[in-house]
Amino acid sequence: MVTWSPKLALYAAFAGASFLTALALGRPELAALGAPFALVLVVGLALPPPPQVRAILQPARQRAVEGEEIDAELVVSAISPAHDLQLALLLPDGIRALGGAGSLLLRVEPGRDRTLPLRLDCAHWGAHRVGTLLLRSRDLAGLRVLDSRITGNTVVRVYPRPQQLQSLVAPAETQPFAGNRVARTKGEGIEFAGIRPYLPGDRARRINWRASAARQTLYVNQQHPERNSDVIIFLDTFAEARRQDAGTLDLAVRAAASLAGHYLATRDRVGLVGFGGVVRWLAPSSGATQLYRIVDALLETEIVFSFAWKGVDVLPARSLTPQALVIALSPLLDERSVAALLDLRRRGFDLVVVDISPLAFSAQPRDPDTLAAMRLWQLWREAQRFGYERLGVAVAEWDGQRPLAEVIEEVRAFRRFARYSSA
Amino acid sequence: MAAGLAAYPILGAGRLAPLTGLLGAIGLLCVFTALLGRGRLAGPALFTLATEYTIVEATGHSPAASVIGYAAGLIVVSELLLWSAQLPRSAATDRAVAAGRLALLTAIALAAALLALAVLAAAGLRLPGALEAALLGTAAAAALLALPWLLLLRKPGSPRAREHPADAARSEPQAAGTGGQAT
Repeated sequence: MVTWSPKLALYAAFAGASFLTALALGRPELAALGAPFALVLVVGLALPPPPQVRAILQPARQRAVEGEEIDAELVVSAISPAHDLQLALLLPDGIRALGGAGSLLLRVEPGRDRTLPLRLDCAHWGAHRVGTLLLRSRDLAGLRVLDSRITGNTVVRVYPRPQQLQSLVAPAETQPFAGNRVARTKGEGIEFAGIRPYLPGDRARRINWRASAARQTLYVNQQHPERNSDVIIFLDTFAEARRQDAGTLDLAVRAAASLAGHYLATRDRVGLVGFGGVVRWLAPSSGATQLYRIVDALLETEIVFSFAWKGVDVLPARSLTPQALVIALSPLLDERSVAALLDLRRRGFDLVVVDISPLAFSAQPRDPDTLAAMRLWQLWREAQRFGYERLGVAVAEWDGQRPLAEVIEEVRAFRRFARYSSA
Repeated sequence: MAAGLAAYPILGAGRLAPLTGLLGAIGLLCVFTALLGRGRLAGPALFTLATEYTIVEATGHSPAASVIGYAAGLIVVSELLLWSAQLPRSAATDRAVAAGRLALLTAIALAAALLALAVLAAAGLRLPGALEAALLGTAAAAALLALPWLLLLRKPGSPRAREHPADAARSEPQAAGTGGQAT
């Protein structure tokens, strides 16, 4: 919509005042002061109105990893000359225009597309809608202003930067499908498991001749078969602790993407459960397609506030396959997720909890009362963790400062210890 | 330029120099405020500088050259102040925009000087009779009234803009995954 600029009222008032003063004082010289302002008004209004301008932001690619920079082009066109076109690029929080290119003042000739190269910094993971622009064009004299808004519909998917992991938490049980994990059961495989007396039907190549010679009867080798396992990444989206542009959900999503990538690389089947105000799930599957499915689902993850009580029974059976390893990524802030995880453990799931520490995102206490409350809260959290550990659940705290690999090692150490102590 | 416009009337003000000096100082202060405050007080700056000149002009005649120069200077200062107000903060400015603005400012200054000269020349005309004077006065009044009429004709929100070809051809398929639409 075209609006009048304040310049028009100012110039009209000044020209009118100078003419009246000239008339009142009988001094035509004073009219000469106001005449140029009147001329600008008349000529400016006789000129064409501000032109309609179109602009399109075209990113070079629509997928990037967190921290990457992508090239983009801003194509601007106008039907009549846009003498000073103001253009502001409204980018979502996770994407920044480098080099101050978010705000431009440019001239566009009619009939010729103006292409401006831009560089976008993909600072934060997410599915970001880019291309929304605010445009302000003026006529030549600057008397009329045309403001318009272009809503972008290009989605740039910024994937979380994967964390380096040296090793993974091995699931307690394997599935019947072929994979890279050595199963605890005995069968056809490569890894030596032991020997047993020969039974009719055993293949001759499996006979352990050394053991057979020592025992004077035939013995055959037994192997552990190579199987895969199911891993369910359980993302708590009930609540998060957030400070400025970082929060526990960001850490959880980064950890989930890293874990999913690494487990899928070892031929395991990985599923995802987003447990919060909105419950989302992806049934376990393997392969690169599943990785894209999981990461795309993670990009859509957000905290949805809800008062409704939810337990694991709201999850469909196929999302939590039997004998799956469940890796929960949770700040343990909401009772519903805490209870759901305990319920999972009681149902016999092999559970690991990565406690995404909200302490790093909470305000530092300044007075004694707040300090006492903070300490109580920390004690309560420790008690909560102890409750999990009593059930044999490995709990490791991750604040985002130390590498995720360290947290995974902590979990592995706990599980090793728990196995020895239970044995 | 604003300092020149504020200082010049003081030279010919005589005993009114303190008053014009005060007005000049206020005018300059308004100019600086307008520069720093994104056009705020641009109007008062313009009116104060003009009032300063009017006082000098009302108490004694200034030479024609000074009227022409002052008229051109006043509109150039005003254009610059308003342009500084329109400039977005921390925007990457195209060189062509600055060049275009400079050319426009030069044209406005020249046109202002010519128009002021024309006004002064018209004021100095010695007409042979009352009828001619009446006709000229009527023409001038009609021209003055044409200005608000012209302003009223073009209401905001009804631009006579032609439709952009891309808007006219909405059926054209949009490039895959790109683009936007004006609202």
